[in-house]
Amino acid sequence: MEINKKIVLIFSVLVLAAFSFYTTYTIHSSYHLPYHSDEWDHLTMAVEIVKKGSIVNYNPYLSDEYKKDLEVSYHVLLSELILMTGLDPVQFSIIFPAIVSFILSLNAFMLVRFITKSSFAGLLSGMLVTTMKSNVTLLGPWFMVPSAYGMSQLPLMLFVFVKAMGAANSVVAKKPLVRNSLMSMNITPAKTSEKISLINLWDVVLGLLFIQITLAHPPSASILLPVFALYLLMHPRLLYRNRFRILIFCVIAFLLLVNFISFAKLANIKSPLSFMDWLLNDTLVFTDEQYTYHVLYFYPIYLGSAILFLAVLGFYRNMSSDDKSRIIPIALLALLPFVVQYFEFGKSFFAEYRRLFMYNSELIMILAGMGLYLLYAIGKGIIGVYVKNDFLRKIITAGMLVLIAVALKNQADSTFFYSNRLYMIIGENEVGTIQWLGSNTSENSTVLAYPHVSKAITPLSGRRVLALTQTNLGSGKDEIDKANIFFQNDCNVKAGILNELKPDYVFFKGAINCPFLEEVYESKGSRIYKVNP
Amino acid sequence: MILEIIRAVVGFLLVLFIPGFAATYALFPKNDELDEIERIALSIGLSIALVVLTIAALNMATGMLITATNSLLVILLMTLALSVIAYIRRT
Repeated sequence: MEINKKIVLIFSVLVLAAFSFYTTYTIHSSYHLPYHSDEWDHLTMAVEIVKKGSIVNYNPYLSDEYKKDLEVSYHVLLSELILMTGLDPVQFSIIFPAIVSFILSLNAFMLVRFITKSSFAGLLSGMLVTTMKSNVTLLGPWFMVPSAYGMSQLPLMLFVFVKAMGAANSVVAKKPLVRNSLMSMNITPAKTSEKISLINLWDVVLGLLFIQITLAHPPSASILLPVFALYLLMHPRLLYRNRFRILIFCVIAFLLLVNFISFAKLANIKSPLSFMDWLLNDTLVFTDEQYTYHVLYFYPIYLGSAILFLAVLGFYRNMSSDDKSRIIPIALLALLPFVVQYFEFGKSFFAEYRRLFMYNSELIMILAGMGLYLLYAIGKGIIGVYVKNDFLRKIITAGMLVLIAVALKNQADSTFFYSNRLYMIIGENEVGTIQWLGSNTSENSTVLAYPHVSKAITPLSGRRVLALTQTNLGSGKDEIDKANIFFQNDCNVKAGILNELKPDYVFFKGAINCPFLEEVYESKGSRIYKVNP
Repeated sequence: MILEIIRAVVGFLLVLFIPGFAATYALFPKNDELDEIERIALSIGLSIALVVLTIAALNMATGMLITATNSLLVILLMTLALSVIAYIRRT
C-alpha cells in the first residue's frame, strides 16, 4: 500500500513536470530568445549582478545613477542560478519559466492534496493551473518575470498560512516575566494553566517566505494581506487564539512596507488628511494606464465558461467543508472586490489590475481542478450504485478518465491562444552581430539602436545604450524620440542627433549611407557602424 | 556536453532544493509532521528564500562578492548547519 502511494506521487510529479514544460517551454521551440522586454530587463539586472559580484541599484543599460531595485531578491535568485548552473544567461532565461511553471503546478498539487486528501484532485488542479494564458500584458508562466515567480508561491503561502494558524506545536509563554508583560498588554489569558501561542516554527517559515516574496515581487506579497485578513475575520476563533502572532506578523509587514516608502514625498506631508490621501492614493493604489485594453480580459473570455463552471463546483465543495478547505475560496473572495474596484474606478488597491486578474485566475484554475474531481467522484459514485457488473463499471470509469484526459489536452492547447500576440525584441540572426560588439569594442562604448532593440544589446554584449523603451528599466522619452527620428531620417538629421547623444557605435538592421558612419561589421543583414567625428 | 548538463542539474538542485530540504528536517524533523510532497514543495520555497536572503544579506552587510565559489560555500555551510540541527532534533 505504502509503495503504491509512493508510485502515485512519483507519477504525479513526473506528469506535472512534463505538462508544465509542454505548456511553458513550447513557445520557445521556434524562437530561442526571451520574448518580453521585461524578461530582458530582469536578465540584464542578473547579468550585471554576476559581472559586478554585488547587488546593483542602478539601471545597467544607461548609467550608474542610483535607482532602487524593488525586485532585488528576484534578481539575486536569477544571478545565483546563472552562477551555479553555468548556463549561458540567454539559454537560462528560456528554461527558467518552465521550472517556475513546474513549481507552480507542484505547489497547487500539494495544496489541493492537503485539502482534499486526494492525489488525483491535486493532479487535476496542478495541471490546470499551468494552462493559464500569457501575453505581453498578462505576465503569466511563460515569462521570466517576478510576477510569475510570485504566482508560483501563492498556493505554498496559503498552505503555510493555514498550517501556521492551526499549528499546535507552539512555543508557550511560561516564564513569569514574559507572561506578565503579555498579560499587561491584554494578549494572554490570565490563568497560568492556560497556554498561549507565542510563535511556532510555521511562523518562521511563513515569515521567511513572506520576506522573500516581498523583496522579489511586492504585489505578490501585498495581495496576501487581504487574503489572510478575510480568512481570520471569517474564523474569529483562530484570530483570537493567534492574536499575538498576528501582531508580530503585522510588525514584519509594516517594516517591509517601510522599504518601499518614498521618504522624500513623506517629508512634504503636512496634515493627517494629506497623510491619509498619500497612504491610500500614492502608496497602495495602482493604476493601469491601458484601461480599456486590460478590461477586455473578462474572466469568461480568458478562462472559458467550462473552467468557470468547474470552479463554481470547487468553490461550493470547499466552502461547505472544514476550516482549511476554505482558504482558496476565501482568497478568491478577498481579491475579487479589488478587481471590481478597477472595473468601476480604473484603479485598484494592493496590485495592478492585470496582476490581480492573474492571481484570481490562478485561484479559479485551482478550484476548477477540484470541481472536475468532484464531478468525477460524483460520476464514480453513481456508477457504483447503478452499475452492478464489475467489468462494465471499469469500462465506464476508464471512459470518464479518457474524457478528462481529452479535456485537459484541449485546455493545454488553449494555453497558446494569445501566442500570436507575442512580438520579438530581436531576431535570432541578430544575436551574433550584437555579441560582436562585446568582443570588439571597448568596455565604455555606447551604442545607439532602436529603443526596443537596445533591450537586448546590454545583456548580450555588455555595452551601454542611449535610448531604451520604457518598461521596468527605460530611458527618458526625449532619448527614445531622438533614436526613432535618427533611424527614420536623412544624414543631416542623423548628424544632429549624433552630436546630441554622442554614441560610439550604431546598430541597425539595414544599410545606412552617411559619410560619418563607417560600417565595421555586417552579418545576415544587421550592421554595426562606428561613429566618426 | 554531459558535464555541462550535470553541472546545470546540480546547480538548480543546490539553489532550488537542497538547503530547503535540510531546513524542512531542521524545522520539522519527524516524518509524520509533513508528508513527502509537502516536504518537497516546502523545500523549494524555503531553499529559494534561504539562499537568496542569506547571500543578499552577506553581500550588503559584509561586502561579500556574489561569485560561484562564495555562493557554493554559503550554500554548503548553510546545508551542513541545517543538517546538524536536523540530526540533533531527530535524535
